[in-house]
Amino acid sequence: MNALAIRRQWRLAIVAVLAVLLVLAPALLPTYPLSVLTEILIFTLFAMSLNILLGYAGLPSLGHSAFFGTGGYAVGLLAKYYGTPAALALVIAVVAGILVAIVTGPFVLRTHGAYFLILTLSLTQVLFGIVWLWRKVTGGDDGLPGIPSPRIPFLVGRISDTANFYYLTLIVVGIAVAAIAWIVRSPFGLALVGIRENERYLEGLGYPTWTLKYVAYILAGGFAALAGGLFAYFKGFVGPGQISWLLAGEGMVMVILGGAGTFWGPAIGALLVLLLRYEVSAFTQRWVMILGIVFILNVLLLPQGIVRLPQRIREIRARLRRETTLAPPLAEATAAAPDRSVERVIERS
Amino acid sequence: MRGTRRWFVKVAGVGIGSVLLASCGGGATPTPIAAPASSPVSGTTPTPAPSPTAQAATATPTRAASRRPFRVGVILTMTGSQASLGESQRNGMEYYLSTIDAAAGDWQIELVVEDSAGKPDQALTKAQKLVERDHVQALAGIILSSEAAALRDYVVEKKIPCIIGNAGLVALACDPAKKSEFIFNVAKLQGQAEAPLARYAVEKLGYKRMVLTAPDYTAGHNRANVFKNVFERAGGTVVDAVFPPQGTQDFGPYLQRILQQQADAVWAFYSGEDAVRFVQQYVEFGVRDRFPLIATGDTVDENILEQQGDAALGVLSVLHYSPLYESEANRRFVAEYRAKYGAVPNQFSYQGYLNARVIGEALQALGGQATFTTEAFLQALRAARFAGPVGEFRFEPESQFAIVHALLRRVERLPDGTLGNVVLEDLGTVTVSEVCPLL
Repeated sequence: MNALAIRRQWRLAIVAVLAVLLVLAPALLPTYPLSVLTEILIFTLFAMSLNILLGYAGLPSLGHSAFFGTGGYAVGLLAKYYGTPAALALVIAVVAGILVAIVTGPFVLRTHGAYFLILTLSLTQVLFGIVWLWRKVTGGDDGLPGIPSPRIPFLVGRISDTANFYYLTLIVVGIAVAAIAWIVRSPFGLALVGIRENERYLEGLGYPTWTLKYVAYILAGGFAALAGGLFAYFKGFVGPGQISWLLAGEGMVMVILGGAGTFWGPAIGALLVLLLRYEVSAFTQRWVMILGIVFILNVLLLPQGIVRLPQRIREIRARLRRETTLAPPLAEATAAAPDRSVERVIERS
Repeated sequence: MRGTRRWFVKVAGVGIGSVLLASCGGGATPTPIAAPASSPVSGTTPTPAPSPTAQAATATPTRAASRRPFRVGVILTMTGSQASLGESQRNGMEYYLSTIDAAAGDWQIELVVEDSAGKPDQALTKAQKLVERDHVQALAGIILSSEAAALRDYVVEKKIPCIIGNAGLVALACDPAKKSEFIFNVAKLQGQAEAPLARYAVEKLGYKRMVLTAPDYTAGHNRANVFKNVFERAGGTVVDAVFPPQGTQDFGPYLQRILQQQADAVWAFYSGEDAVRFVQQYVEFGVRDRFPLIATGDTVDENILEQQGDAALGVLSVLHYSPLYESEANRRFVAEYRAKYGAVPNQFSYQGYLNARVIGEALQALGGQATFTTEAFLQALRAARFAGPVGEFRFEPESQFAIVHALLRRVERLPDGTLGNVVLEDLGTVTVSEVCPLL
């Protein structure tokens, strides 16, 4: 127990250092890396929202870009036709994402596994078709350019516009990530893990599993729409690429690469994928291949994600020393939380 | 004890993660202050920093030393479905630079090529990288109109001259609110090939009723619109317009619909793999026996002609370029390009050539000016005039788009056994301002 307490303190310290670094980033970085960092933050939120479904609830969704795009197009359309202020537009974007999830949830959640994947994929394709073909409203394949980027008013003139938008993103993403952290550590989040591990058992215990999954789906949709709205403001435009299933696939790569079902895994995945895309592509056209190789190696050697690297090293060392292998890592699937009653139940099962 | 070690290693993992995050910042901080082009005014910078993509800078060190570097950021689709366009465009640019040893006036031109992967958001990030980290003095390339749409505001805000090599975004040419003094286009606008072709179809070919077909996306609709407007104003009737989705594998249902019409001919615009399949299936379904096919040049582009084979024979098309255009400059361009890259230049290679050349000519015109100002460079671009492979090149002042020649071409088998677009006639020049009202 003492070790647990120390561990939590360490964790807090590291999160604090990270937060300070992120707050100081505009002073340390030139504008271009700062804008890449902004994008990393936005995709961190997107990947974390997908992680609620994919990692915690065990629902492999290939349609998560539907919410990202819904948020983006909500912001784009509001800016273009009504000139709505950013704060309100972002709220409406989140509501739009939640509405899409509320409407589509009952259809896609009837299924599991591969069927869930296909249904969510079709959902994205339907929305993609609408924005692609409804040229008059959505601009078709050219998208909606010229979305004015919002600024934090009292910082205007004191720091560059890039830094200003960075802080805006940091605040919004920070709040959202804190909310996700609270959700996944709550009894609700633990119940989701239970659903992932053994849904029928949980049902037998009296948990309303379908409702829990539905709520998770809606929450994930809302957070993804928030990320999509931020991204539309960040880039100043929204296009069909932001709703395409390819983006959902990229989100999946981020989550799995970093570590599905872990809290910080998706952030590390987003960081890695975007750095590969922007830094490596400057040196070679074969950056897509490098991403592929990294992904394959990752899945083969670190099937539970990069975030588990230290644990994996310890396991290998233990094996080399011919010790008995350590306790199975299942109990540590989620980040440390004092109350893991549901998990214990699952473990016993 | 074991538990203690476990948390320590875990903490170390998070630590590694945070180091990774920090090194993202570190890795992304290349000391731009030392970049040679950060102070374009100082002519004392010894040699330009070696850029992995600037293979074109082949000048001898002594020559390079006496010149100031002029960095051009080139955003192209080097991966993804549009990769061949990006490749041709870059070859065209590098070919031109090789003819002048990358030296123009007082400057040594350096290309920094970045991949957009066909994604507008990636194109924008790359533009930020090129401008804010590499400190390029101009942007070039840009293949897709969605990329141009995404870049427009950024380029104008940063006041970076941007010479578009392919993307024919209508708003940049026709919308007064979107036009900008910083944005030029050496390629063509959607409709610049279709307007003269439609006129020719009525006046010379005597077609009265036509069916139009193009892929179901903005450019396809825009082109079909221009064709329809010109064709109907000249007295013809468009009896049907068919828009299959992009990437259609089986054109059967669409060709059946065309077969049911009473028409004199069919106009088509397709590109890439779609064009290969469309032209082949057009013959296989027997549509060719009933309706002759006239097309926008992309449908029978040089890089897909061999794949289309005999099915393409006889297709009439209009485009601003053909490697078989008869001129001294073009013969030299084709021969040297072919020797360098092992392929005939197509319209994208030609646009790449123009893209680099117009920058070279403008720098040449600036001559030995002591200081580089964007204003003077823009002025020199506007005034640029030279005899290119296809006639005289210049920008139309109102739109800053190139004035292009509409070449009427027909696919024929050449004496050497390959297929080529033989130029039948130069239908004259077309400006963007003529096309805008037709869109």
